Amino acid sequence: MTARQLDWLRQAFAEIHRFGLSDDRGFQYWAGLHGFPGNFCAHHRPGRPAPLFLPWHRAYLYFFELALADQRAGVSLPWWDWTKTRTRGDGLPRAFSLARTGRSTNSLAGAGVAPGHPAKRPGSPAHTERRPGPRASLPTGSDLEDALGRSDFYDFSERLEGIHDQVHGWVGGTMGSVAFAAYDPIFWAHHAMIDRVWRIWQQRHGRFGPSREDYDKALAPFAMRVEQTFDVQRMGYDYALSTSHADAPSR
Amino acid sequence: MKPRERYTSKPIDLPAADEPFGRADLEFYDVTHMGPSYEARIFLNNNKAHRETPATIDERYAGSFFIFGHGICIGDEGHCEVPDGPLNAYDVRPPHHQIGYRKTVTITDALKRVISGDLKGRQTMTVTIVADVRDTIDNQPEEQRVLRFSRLALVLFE
Repeated sequence: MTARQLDWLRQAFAEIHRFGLSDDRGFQYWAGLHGFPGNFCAHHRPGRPAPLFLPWHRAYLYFFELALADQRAGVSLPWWDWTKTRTRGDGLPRAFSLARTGRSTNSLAGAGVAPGHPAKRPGSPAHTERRPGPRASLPTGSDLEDALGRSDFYDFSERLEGIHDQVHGWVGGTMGSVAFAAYDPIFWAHHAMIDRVWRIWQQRHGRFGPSREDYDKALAPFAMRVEQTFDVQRMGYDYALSTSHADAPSR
Repeated sequence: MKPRERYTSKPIDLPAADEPFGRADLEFYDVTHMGPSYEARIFLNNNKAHRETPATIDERYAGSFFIFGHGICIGDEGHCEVPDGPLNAYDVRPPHHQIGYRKTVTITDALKRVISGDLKGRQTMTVTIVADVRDTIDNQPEEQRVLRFSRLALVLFE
């Protein structure tokens, strides 16, 4: 990301934190759809062909990015490539780990977890926290290539979900729990990487993925069916290696 | 199967030395993810493997699967108990989130090493799984800890 893109992202995260638990423009609302309290996430579901892990999270990212862009036009979610050599040196990306940026709290470093929600159980976290593991324990490029090489979509999805689980466990803390993971801002960059890997699989294998009997399945609570997640370009985005911005000429 | 953090299987059949295979998978059935996240490390014919055992060839480490744990139950009483099944043929709700699923670990290289190495000529081996539980943020009752599945299978492909 460019410095400007990162700044926009931080601004957008800071803005959506202004809204309360039930305001669907707000961070707490969107984070709460995954585990606590909404419990909508599609993880570890049995059966074949049944798993909606990739389509559901693609829809989740799509709508969350729109919520960010409502507050800061032009913002887009970055992906966190945990296979890169740099990650194995730095651990958590600095953009997400610095506690402060200048005079401000880094809105990507953490967040409150459903503050004041009446259904929170004793012992539930008040704020996100991370307990990263040894950097050598992160997935490798070989792990990804093994998954990408699977021509059967559900086999690929199962392998990728395993890699996804590994990173959740590696970050640890609230990211290590389905119930609270989405409250950590790095959740979104992690899932953008997962989504990107699906996009790469689609390009390599020349197919969208799920079988026809899954096309019409609803991705609750989003106004979207599985089939509508097949083509990221029709959803208005793609994964670029880099983008460069230029201001319009002044009049 | 009651939850535990270390498990050793009964002996399972090894392929014959003259039975070629291109890929070997260990499949774990009805794995559930209640509780904390963890890494399940797999060791072949190493009944003494434990949490501190290095994941090395010498220890016959074969691979791992990872579980993204559900954490505590965030609903009211009964929320995380699996119901009997769909109400009827018209019930299109997704499966209960605590229904078990399958995890697969490819162990081709590790299996070929052991059957051509110190297990050469043997007909069976055991599989030991050790769960390395990360720190949790919830208060996890001991009986909710971790490693749960109904059975495992060694599956060979051409």
